[in-house]
Amino acid sequence: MESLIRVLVDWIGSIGRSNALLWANWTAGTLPLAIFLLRATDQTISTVRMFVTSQGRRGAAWLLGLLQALLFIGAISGILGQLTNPWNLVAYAAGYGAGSVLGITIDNFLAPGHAFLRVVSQGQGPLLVSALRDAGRGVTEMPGKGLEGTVSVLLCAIPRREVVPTRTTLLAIDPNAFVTVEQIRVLDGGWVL
Amino acid sequence: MPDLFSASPALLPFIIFGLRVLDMSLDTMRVLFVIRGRRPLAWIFGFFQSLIWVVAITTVLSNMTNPWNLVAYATGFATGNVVGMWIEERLAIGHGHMRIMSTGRGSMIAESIRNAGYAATELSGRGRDGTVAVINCSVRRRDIERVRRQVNSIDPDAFITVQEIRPLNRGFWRA
Repeated sequence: MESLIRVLVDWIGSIGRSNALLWANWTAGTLPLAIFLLRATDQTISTVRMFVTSQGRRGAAWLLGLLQALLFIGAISGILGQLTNPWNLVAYAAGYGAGSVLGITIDNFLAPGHAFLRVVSQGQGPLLVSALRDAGRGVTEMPGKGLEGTVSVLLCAIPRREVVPTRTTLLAIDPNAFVTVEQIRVLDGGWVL
Repeated sequence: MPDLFSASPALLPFIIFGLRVLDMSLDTMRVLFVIRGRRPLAWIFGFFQSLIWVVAITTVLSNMTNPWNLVAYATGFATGNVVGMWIEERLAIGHGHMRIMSTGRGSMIAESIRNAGYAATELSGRGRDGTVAVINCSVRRRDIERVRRQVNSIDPDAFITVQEIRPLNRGFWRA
């Protein structure tokens, strides 16, 4: 275990020492590309870490934090001295922006946690309810009153991953259904698969 | 800052680790405050976070030859993030909206929530197996666990969800 740590530390140290050299070896043409890719990777990790943090998942937050800091100190800190070239500066900023977008995309793709659907429908309530129950979801139906009379208000908790397909199913039955989504934390019980 | 730079090289990794834990705890709390719209707190935490970060990063960058400094920087970053989450959960600033669904024991749950000094709004809904009660109850975040235990003791099968809310106007908040 100790020798493993030693090897890891030596490797990180070698990155640190060769940092300035590493960047000096790049030709002016490819340097902006390298800067862009590194900055984008760093910012992607950072964005995903932010989502994980706001969901209270400590283990994942620790791991992503470690990765991000190693990448920053090992590679990106070396770039900071190279930013006098305007193309490097643009690549750095573009990498930051691209990383944020990629991070959001990854979070949407993984989509951990639960969402709460509230569907307001005029007339098609029972149809929507049976469609949701056929799909294995728990639904609570409430009567409501809208401008043009009685409406059904449906409450339904689903995994966040299922939001888009569920929405498609609902709108196929009632294109006029009003569907809103909230992010929730499920504490106890329920019929969430 | 000269103290830090001239500190004995053996101590430096520990100093860097400590600084990073401190500044990342502040930064994590700052982000969580930003999400909840607490502007003054976000400002104060942002100020001190960046102040400490500058000291930590310049210390590492001027001592890149010692790999332990880099290790301390990265593990301090990761650990500080988790410490910040832990502190923020303990502070539990803000409000949560609890939605409780129960078959049969809705009015008992609502009554017990009210007796404990919180407000509850009951709605009736229909589930697969008949009538259910939908109880809406907004409480401070630090009261969520207490209400949850209370509901569970009355109906262990109740479906309870929580979401974060920002109160806009009025309502009944336990002082």
